[in-house]
Formats: sequence, structure tokens, C-alpha cells
Amino acid sequence: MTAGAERPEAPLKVVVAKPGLDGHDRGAKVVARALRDSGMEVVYTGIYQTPESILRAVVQEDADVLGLSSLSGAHLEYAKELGELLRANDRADVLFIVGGTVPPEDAEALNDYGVHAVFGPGTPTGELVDYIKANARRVGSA
Amino acid sequence: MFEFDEMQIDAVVAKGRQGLWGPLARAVSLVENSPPWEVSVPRAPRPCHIVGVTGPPGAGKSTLTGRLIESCADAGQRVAVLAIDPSSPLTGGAVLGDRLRMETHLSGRPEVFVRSLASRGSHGAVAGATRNIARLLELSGLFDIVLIETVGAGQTEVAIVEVADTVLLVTVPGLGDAVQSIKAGLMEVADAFVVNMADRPGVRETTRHLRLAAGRANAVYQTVATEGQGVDELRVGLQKRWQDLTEGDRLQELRLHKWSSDASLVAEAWVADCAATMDLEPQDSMHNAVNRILKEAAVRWTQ
Amino acid sequence: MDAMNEDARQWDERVEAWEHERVSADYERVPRRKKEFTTLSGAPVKDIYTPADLRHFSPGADLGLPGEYPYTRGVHATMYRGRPWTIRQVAGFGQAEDTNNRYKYLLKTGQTGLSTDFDLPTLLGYDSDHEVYRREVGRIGVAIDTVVDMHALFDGIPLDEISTSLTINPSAAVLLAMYRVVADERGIPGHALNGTTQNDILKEYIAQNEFIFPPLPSVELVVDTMEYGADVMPRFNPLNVCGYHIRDAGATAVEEVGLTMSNALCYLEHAAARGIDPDRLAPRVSFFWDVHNNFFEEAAKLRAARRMWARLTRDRLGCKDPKSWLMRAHCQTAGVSLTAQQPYNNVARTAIQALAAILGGTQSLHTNSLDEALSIPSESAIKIAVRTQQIILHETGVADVVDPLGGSYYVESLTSQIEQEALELIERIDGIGGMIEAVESGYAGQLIADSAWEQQVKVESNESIVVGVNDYVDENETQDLEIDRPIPGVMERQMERLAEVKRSREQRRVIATLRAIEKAAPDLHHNLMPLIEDAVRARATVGEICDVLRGVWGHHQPSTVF
Repeated sequence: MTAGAERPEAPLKVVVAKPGLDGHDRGAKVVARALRDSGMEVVYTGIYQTPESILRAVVQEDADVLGLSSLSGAHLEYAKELGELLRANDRADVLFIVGGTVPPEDAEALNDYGVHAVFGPGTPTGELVDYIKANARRVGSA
Repeated sequence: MFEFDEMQIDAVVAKGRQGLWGPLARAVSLVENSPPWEVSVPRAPRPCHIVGVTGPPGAGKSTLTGRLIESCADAGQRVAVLAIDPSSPLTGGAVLGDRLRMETHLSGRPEVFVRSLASRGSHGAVAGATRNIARLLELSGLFDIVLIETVGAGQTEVAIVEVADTVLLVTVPGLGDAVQSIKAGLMEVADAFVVNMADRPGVRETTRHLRLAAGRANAVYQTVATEGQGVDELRVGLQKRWQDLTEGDRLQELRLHKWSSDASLVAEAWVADCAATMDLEPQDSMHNAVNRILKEAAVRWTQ
Repeated sequence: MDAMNEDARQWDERVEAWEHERVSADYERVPRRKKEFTTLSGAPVKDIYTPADLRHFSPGADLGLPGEYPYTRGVHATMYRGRPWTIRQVAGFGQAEDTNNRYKYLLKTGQTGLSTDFDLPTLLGYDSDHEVYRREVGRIGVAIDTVVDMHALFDGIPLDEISTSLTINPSAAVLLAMYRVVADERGIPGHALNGTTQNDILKEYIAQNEFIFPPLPSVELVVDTMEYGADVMPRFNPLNVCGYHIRDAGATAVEEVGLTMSNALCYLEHAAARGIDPDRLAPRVSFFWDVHNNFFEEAAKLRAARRMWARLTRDRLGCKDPKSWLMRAHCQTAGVSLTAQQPYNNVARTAIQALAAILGGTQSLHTNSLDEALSIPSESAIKIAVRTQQIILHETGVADVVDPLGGSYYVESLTSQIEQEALELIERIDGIGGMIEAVESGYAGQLIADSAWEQQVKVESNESIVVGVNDYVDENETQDLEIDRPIPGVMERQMERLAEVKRSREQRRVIATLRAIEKAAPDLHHNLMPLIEDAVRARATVGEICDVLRGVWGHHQPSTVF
């Protein structure tokens, strides 16, 4: 029942997280701002996160999307562990993306860990927004 | 219109007891994504203490909330937090940063449930949704205390914290004059005051100021949230207030009173939603315009 | 003076007529390439600069000669005609031995100074056996747990001949003590040591986000290291105040200068409040700048920073020793300007940025490698970066004259403008109660985040062109770079070595030295460095020492700004 027009679909909820000790958060913050401006609700967990704390945020916030930002070269380890945690906690349906200084040849391994897309340096935020809008809430249904 | 059935609630409770928060988080989303008038949360068999935490930006509310989480959890209380940040009126998006500020207090405490919410829509709708979510948390029986945290910037925030059984207004010394300028509505709904960053100069003046301005025998607590000072005292004060409320009929009276003001806010939200889609003639008299809005709202409501 | 104003007035008229008659007619035929020309700081750039733009500029007071106050033209009289700048490429990865080998390679390519990157656990005061963070051991820098590792890092390197820069911040006090202990145990006296610890904690809170303790005890710990340096290793720079990370996080050139100078003042003013004469410490304060793409703005920035520091130390801090007035600089080309797309283009970007740093009069320089946006540099990429500096030095002739840009209407006017705007920013920060307040309130962080966002918007709207990224894009670009991969087994080997050190050291002595730090730490004016040195000698770990301080001072809670 609505009083006015058609009820719009609920905004997408995105958790943006930085795992480990890497503090370079310029990219993560710019992404958070761009996603907000495209109408999404962004939970920013900040730096120094552990895989467990990121999982907790995804579960408790009932997130549609998890964006991991890593510039410390440890993206493979963190993504692998998070992929396992998401599956074990019934959240493999979250759209899982990774951004940062990720060598292109790591994309395949990341895919195996459950990462749906990798966005390297210089990706326009518009591309990211379009990808999320096209793919969030559709993971696992295909 | 949906109502939580027993099976849904049972699943939430069973998983929640194991520290698995998925079902509860999904249930919260269901409530959050529905207009408040469409949701019916059954009454909880046992109430839990719903506490609103608000205050001007920069007063350290999130850090204080983080410390309260610790203090309550260490005292054996089961804690949930709803952290509400404003949505952008232009895009509808939001950056929800409160979780970040509480994060260090959450590590090693998987039993604490924290949910960030964006204050979508009109203030009545937000307050209604917040109320429904708080009641859902209460119904689950998984918590002894629910903290609702929001920045005290305007009407919406007043409406949000008014949902709570106890409203804490957090301020800092040096905002001496700012205390005066805190939204009048906020001063009135507060049940207790917290002077945070109480290691700064001006704490006595601010405390005195609050005592005078409040005009009631309300408690004024002093904390240094970054160090954790004074937080246990605040927690004990909250426990005492809860004891007072739950002895006798006070809580019921209080909630009945808040319930009716919530209901009227939600009704207001419905009417506003409705009016927004109507073509009102500018040459109409105000009386006629109101007449049309209310009639249309009533018609749509019964449809 | 009147003659000068008269001259400027005539130029004003002449330029006005020229704009009217010639320029507008030309734009009529071929319009401006861009709606607005600006520097990266957003300052409008005019069609032409003439003597009219220098009407408030006094060549005597504002420029002077190289090696003379206010040092706009350079800190040394002869600059690169005597000793060229130091080629100092930062390196660090794996275990100490791995980095030690890289050092020897770099010295062989003709590098003249060393610079160390540490891994994240070391930077943040955790040991290599930390339950969560051990997976980052040796990744983006070298892993150091105890002075035993530090010995291995500098094995065979003459510490009394080569200057060494240690890129470390929150745990800098421990690493500085380690450096001194290594030298001491090798029989090299403190006064022979030459080098730098970065140790600029304030920029961490607002830009790079590597911090442990809250700002106040952290700043006092920096003061401890400065005083310790003056006492026991007087040629060493314990503090290297950084604009680099502020800029890389998104600040403009003006914000880079203003915030960095505010940080430098904050340390020295806290030292003064402890009764330490600024002339004892200021001569050993050095600076580290980011040299970005806008060529003239970057060269002017270095010139402006030199003049500002000379004036601020003399007039604001009351320094009387001319050595205190010198803004000695290390520069690095802008990592953030390099792209993952068409990475070979980065060689050109880096060369042009390096040229700006040299024309700006830097004392040492790191040129980024072309694979910067993808990984830590490979050996072949580093070699091109080093060769870039050697080409500029030997083949271009730009280093054969001192301050060749001096007197340029445009560059002098930019220099003055940057100085003035950066001073205004310093005033705003003073106005809100100083840098610590600007950190805690989120003011400084917000400034940087907003500028980062503005630049992002400009790139995405194609208002700023980044070659290979939003224009001149290769549709089917494939990656053919050799990428440096982490060395396998580093974590395991480092954990083993740490366990071995812990087994063989005298445990009671470790505990006693840590207790002594714990007891002294609550008094923020008590210099902890001699106690930290004792703990380091006893083979206490970086993590153990930092844990003691965490216990006393607590953690810093980051502010949230977007």
C-alpha cells in the first residue's frame, strides 16, 4: 500500500572495507562518496579491518555488495579468507568486488575465491556504479 | 501489510542465540524497506530498555556509544545498536560511518548486534521505521538494551530518539553557548544529559548550564568517552532508570504516550506522501486544500 | 619603488591593450583550448605574465642569492654545480637479507643514498608472529622485529659513508634507536651517522593513516627523538616532515605546503614548550615533497616552501642560527599521478616531474618506477627510474646553473601566490587551535578528502585529461609488464628468526627494560629514547615496545571524513 507513487526499490546497501594494515584510503573514500551520490547506502568500516570484522559488517548490515580496497599487495590472502567466510555464513549471495593495486593476472585467482569483479586503478567510478546496479541482488540467481 | 509470524521470529531467535545474525539482519531489512504503516510487530512478552543517544555533531556520540557497548556487555547485558545517519535529500544515498567509530569496541564481541540505518524519507516515516525495528529487536528477546544513536540536528532526529524509553543528550564543554542553541525540542525530550570530553575546560559551566536549562531534576553525567571515563557510572544510571520504569506502570504509561505520538507522526507521513502526488490549485483557499488532501488520504488509505 | 610601480602600471596598460587588440581577435579565430586554465591547486593561469605581476615582489628581499636568506633560490650557494642531488630510491621487501641485496644492487647502479621501506606490521608496531597481521610480513617493505634484523639489513653497508633514510612513522622511535645501536655495536660513533627517520606522525592522521597512539603523546615522542638525535647523533635528521602523503591523499599543492608547514611548526612549538631551544632542533628538521604534474607550480612550490620556512623559523620560532632557516628537501615524483593503463607512459611523467624537482632545487630525489600503480617495483623498472635522474644530470644541462627559473614573471608570481595562500591556511589552522586540534576535529582530513573528490570529478567529467585513462585509450590494451611477486616463505622464515631471538635473549633484562619504559611513559615530557635504546639493546621487539606504549597511551580513533 502506498500513499503516493509506486514504491521505489530499496537503495542498495554496500559495505566498503579495507582489510589489514594498509591505510591508503583515498580510493575507498572516493568510491564511498561516488556510490552515495548514485543513491546507494554505504557502510564505511574504515581501515585496519580483519576478515571477521568485515564479515560481521556484511551480515549485520544485510549488505547487497561488499567492496574490498587493498593497496598492500595482500589482496589474495584477504579475499580468499573472506570468500570462505561468506560461504560459511550463508552470504555467498553478496556481490563481492575488489579494487586497488591488483595485478591483472590475479583476477583469475580472485574469481576462484568468489570475487565477482576486480577494478584496477583509474577505473571511472561511473563504471563501478553501473556494474553494481546491473549485478547486485542477482548473484546466485544465475 | 505484513506481520512477523512465529516461525520467522523463532528462526531469528534460534540463530541469534548462536551469534548468527543473518536472519535478524534480514528481518530488520524487511521492516526498513517497508513503509511503517505496513508493518505490524507483535508486542514483546518482555520489554527491553530502548535508549536514544543524540547530540550535536562532534560531541563524540559514536565513541560514547562504543564505550557503552563495552560497559553493558562487560556487565552481562546483551546489546544492540541502531546507528542512524542522514540520507542525502538529493540522491537518496548515504554514507553510514558510525560503525567505523564503534569498530574497536566490537572486536572480540560477536554477541553485539550493530545496524546502520539511513534516515530515508520524511521524519515521520523514519521515526516509524526506527520504532518498528526497535520493537522487532525487543520481540526477539535477544537483547537487554537497544541503543539508538543519531546526530541531533533537527526535527527528524528528535522524532527518532523520541521512540526511546530514555533519551540521552550528549554535549561537550565549550559548546556552552551552543547548549542554548541546541534545538529546543531536543532539550525537552532528553531524560538525562552527558557532558562528554569532560577533561576539557568549561565542564562545570556546561554542567551548570544544563541543570538550569533542563529545568528538571535530570541526571547530568560527565564522561571522557575516548578514555572510557564515567561510562560505567552512566551505564549504572541507565540501569537504575530502567528499574524505576519497570517497577509499577511507569513504562506502560510512557510507552502508551510515545506510541500515540508515533502513530500521529506516521499518519502525518502518510498524508504528506499523499499530498506530494496531488495537483493542488494555488488559488484554492487553505481550508479547501486541506480538505482535499485529507479526503484523498482517507480514500487511498481505505483502498 | 615608485619607479617600479610606474613601470608596473605601464605594463598593465600595455597588456590590457594587447589583450584587447591582439588576444581577443586571435581567440575569435581559434578559441581557448580550455574554458579555464588553472594550476592543479585551482589557481587561474593568465595568458601572459609581465613585470606588472611582480609589483609586490622585491628581488632583494624575496629572492636574494642562493645560500642566502630567504633561500628562495636554493639552500646552497653552488647547488648542483658542486655536489649533485642524492639519487635515493626507496627499497624494502621480504626479510632483511632480501632488502640488503637490493641495496647492493642499487649502489651498483649508481645510487648515492639508501632509503628503507618497512612492511606494515613493522610500521604499525606489530611483530611478525602477530596472529592476524603476519600475512603482511615482508610485503610492501622489509620485516624488522629486533635489532638482529637491523644488523642484517645494513650488513656490509658503510653506515659512516652512506646516508640512510628510514621511512617509518608511528614506530620510528624504536627504529631510530635500532639504527644507533647497530652502528654502536659495529663500532661506528653516533656523530658519523648521516640519515633520516621520517617520523612525521601528524601527516599520518590526516593522510596516510599509519598511526598507533593518539596525537598528543605521539607528538611528544617525536620531540623525544629530536632531542635524542641532537644529543647522540647530531648529523642525523630524526624528523622528515612530509607533504608527500598529504598530496598523494588528494591535497592541492597549496594545501600540501600549508599543512606540512603547520605540522613542522607543531613539533617545534611542542619542543619549545618543553624548554628546548628551537635552534638545537630546527637545523635537523628536513622536508619531503611530492612533485606532481603541473610543472611550474611544482618548481614554484619548492621555492615558496624554502622562503616560507626561512621566514617562519626566524620570525615565528625566533631561530637565530641560519642552519635552522634551511628547508632541506627530499622529493619524490607523484605516485598517484601514475597509471595502470599504458604503464610505459609513466616513464615520461616521472621524467618531467623529476625535472621540476631539480629546477625547484631539491637535495635528494626518488623517481617512481613505471609499475608503481601495479606492484612494488621490479629491478628493471627501478633501473629506468635511476637512469632518468642520471640523464637529467648529465645530458640536459639543467643542473649546470643555479635556479634557472629565478626571475621568470610566471614562476616568481606563482611562488609568491603559493606562499601567500599556504600562509593563509596556516593561519586558519592556528585559528582552530593548532594542528592537533585540526587532526582531532577532522578539519585537515576533510580538506584533503574534498580536494581528492574534486580531482576525481574533474577526471570523470573529462575536464582533466589523463592520457591513456580518459583519453587516448587503447581499446585492446594488454598487460606485458614484468610484475614483482612476493617472495614465498618470508613470513615463516621471519617467524622462525623471531622465535630464535626470543629464545636466545636474556628474558629478565627484556622485561626490566620494558617496565622502565612503562613507568616513564605517563610523563609526556620524560624523554623515553634512552629507555627505548636500552630495550632495543636487550633484543626487545618492535611489537613489545609498542605494546607497552599502547598500554599507557591507548589507540588513536580515526575521525570519519569523506
